[in-house]
Amino acid sequence: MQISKFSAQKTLAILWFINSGVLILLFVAFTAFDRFDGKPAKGWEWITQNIFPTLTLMISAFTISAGQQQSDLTVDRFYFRLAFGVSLFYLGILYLTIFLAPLAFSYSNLSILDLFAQSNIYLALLQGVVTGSIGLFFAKK
Amino acid sequence: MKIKYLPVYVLFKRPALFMRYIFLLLLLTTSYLTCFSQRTIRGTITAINNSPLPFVVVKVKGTTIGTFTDTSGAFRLTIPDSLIKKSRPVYLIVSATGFQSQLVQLADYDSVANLRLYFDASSLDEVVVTSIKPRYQEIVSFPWPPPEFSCSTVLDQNYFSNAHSLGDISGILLNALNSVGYSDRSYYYIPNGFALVTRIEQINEDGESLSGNARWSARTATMGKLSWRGYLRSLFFPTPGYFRIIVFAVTNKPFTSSGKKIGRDDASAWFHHGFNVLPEEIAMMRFRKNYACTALIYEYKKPESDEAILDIPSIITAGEHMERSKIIQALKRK
Repeated sequence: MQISKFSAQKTLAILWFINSGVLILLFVAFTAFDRFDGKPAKGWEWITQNIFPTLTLMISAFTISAGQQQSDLTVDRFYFRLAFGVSLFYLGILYLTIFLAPLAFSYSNLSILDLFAQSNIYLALLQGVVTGSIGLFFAKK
Repeated sequence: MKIKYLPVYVLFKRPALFMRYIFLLLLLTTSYLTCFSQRTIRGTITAINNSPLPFVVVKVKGTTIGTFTDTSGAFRLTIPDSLIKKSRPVYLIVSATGFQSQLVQLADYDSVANLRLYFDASSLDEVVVTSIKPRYQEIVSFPWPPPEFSCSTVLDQNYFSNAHSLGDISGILLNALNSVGYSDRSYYYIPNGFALVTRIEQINEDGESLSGNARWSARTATMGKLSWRGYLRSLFFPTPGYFRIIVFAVTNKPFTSSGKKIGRDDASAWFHHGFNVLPEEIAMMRFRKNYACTALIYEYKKPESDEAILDIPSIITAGEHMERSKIIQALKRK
């Protein structure tokens, strides 16, 4: 079953931009409340490296295709669902990492910055999968 | 050789011989009387912990009459009555190296003088010149002058009004500390006194000790019971830990901090490296009015994502620290 590529792009973009907006707002609040103990750059470094590569990819694709006539290209719905599902899972892991911080500190005295540093181990793997699945819609001609 | 005894009537015929006999008789009588008109003073000299002190010099002031104590600390001193009558009042000087000399006035009826001597570190300092290393200097020393502290306060002398020795001061402090949960501490030597260091404890921002295991844990206490409020607070705000070490410095020497900052881990190690009880040599030292007990507060703030730092100055005063740790209340109750 096919789905319009442009429509798939829009759906994925909405998913990413809304969630990225929420995450950035969270980090603005964290910065305002000095959640990172005077080291906000370390916190922002984490969020930047985890969401901005995908956002940059999407923005670039939209910039390139802006003004061009919408093509009738279609993609298999399976690939769309896969990319959507992987994105959802990845963003869910980002939220989970952030929302687990109080519990991680409570049970193992792991600070939020230490937790972010440790989460890069699994997020780096997932990011590869996410970029690969999304690239099908935003990078492939 | 056969001794020839002269009959008594011959004395009356020979006045010179008679006078010689009379003089001899008087001499013997005077000697006899002198023998029995003297006083013997007996006594025992002990340290503040009741251990006998041998080889202590016991001397009558202003004379060459004196003696030493034996191995059981006992002495016996004979003072001629003439001296007692001549120089009233009679004083005994009791002196020993490392102890404060005592001047004791003898009353007419005194025949026993049991005395206690107090340890005197300053007099022992003079002995160091002769390269004899006194034992008390082998006692672990607290870094002196003390490293920079968050705040400090001199405790009221009234808390120690019944104290006679530094051992008594230690006892008063221990009673107070025990009653408010500071059962772990260690002792160090400081010039002319001692330092009593409490184990590092966790406090809240206001200086009140945390309850339960969190108080003595090196890990920052967190939200405690799981609640949404606690969780959200912990999510959006950092959770710093506050830790405190109290050092009671008992000395008659004025001091200030050395200006050197000490980290939390190094300060925590004080508790492990000191003595479990106050060494006898220090406990025996006499507590005089010029002694002061100063509470030095070392307060550390441990940010969630960073190393603990010494809070200088503390946001509350040392007096407030002492009140919120309930030590002052315990000292008042003594």
